[in-house]
Amino acid sequence: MNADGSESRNLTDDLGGGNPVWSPDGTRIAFECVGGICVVNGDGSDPRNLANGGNPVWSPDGTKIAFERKFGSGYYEYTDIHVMNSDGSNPTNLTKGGGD
Amino acid sequence: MMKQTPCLVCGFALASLLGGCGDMGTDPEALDPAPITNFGPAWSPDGKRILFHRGSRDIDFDIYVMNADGSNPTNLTKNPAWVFDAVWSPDGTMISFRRGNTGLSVMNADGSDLRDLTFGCDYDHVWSPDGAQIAFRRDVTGDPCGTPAGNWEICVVKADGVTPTVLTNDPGADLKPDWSPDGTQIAFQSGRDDPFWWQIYVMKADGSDPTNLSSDAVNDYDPVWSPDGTRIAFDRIPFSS
Repeated sequence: MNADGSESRNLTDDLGGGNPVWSPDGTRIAFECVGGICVVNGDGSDPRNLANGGNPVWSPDGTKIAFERKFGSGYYEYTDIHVMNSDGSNPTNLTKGGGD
Repeated sequence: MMKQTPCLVCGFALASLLGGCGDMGTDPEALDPAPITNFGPAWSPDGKRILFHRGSRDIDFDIYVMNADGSNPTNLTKNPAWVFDAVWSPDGTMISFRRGNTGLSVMNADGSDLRDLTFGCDYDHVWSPDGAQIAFRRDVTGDPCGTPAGNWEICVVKADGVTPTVLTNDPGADLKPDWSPDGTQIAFQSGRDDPFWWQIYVMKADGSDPTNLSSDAVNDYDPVWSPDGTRIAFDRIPFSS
């Protein structure tokens, strides 16, 4: 919506959504969706499911997104920090948690 | 040997991260320690480094900083307490975090000059754009931290001070503050009008003129300003909480 509360709009009809974060240039919004991490334009167009994961954060130049990805289950569940390009390509695990 | 993780120390962030305290119980058949987990990434303002939280439910969590390619992870806190919600100051010179349920702390970005900033049930902290203040929510009831019925108010504290100012004053919960990019306003999530429907509010940075922007019978929460300050993104769930 606008900062005065007008023109409230649903951007994510069928995706579910939570934890929204604006891209640094203000054109896109990353958020947690049913399929993991999604990105949509600020006007609701071009929604994309980028990756399995959660808690997305944009790099200051907007070219990359850091996020968490879960491994294991129950008591042995853990997450690692990943970085991918903002189009979803080249996801890379930076932390390698687990049993070490 | 396994250690039972007490729910009292898991806090909101970890509970949501791991799916709630109910999922964290000890497996009686387990012989291995809980895995090392890494969570809560945040880019430094210059984009060269990423801070994150690392640890295990058996031990504690510390704040680490690594280069943006994952190299040279460094433990900044080496703290026996549980730390969460670490974020960079806007200029990247400082890092603030939450000490479990006991307050907020700040330190230099290299881990030096660690000091406690607040002493309360303080969550959701965010730096003002000029780096001079930190807004957060505090349970002002004095009940044990995390009590669902707690009365959360939005507070601010100077980044070099220890006495917070309470900006909101109502029986409903006020949480998730977010500064407008010019620092003159704070958006937040409030249940003051109806405890079953969260609304998005905006007030001036001194707490005056609170205005309901989303007055309707749906749940609206997690407001975030667009970088140019003209729009606010938020979550909406069309069901009662």
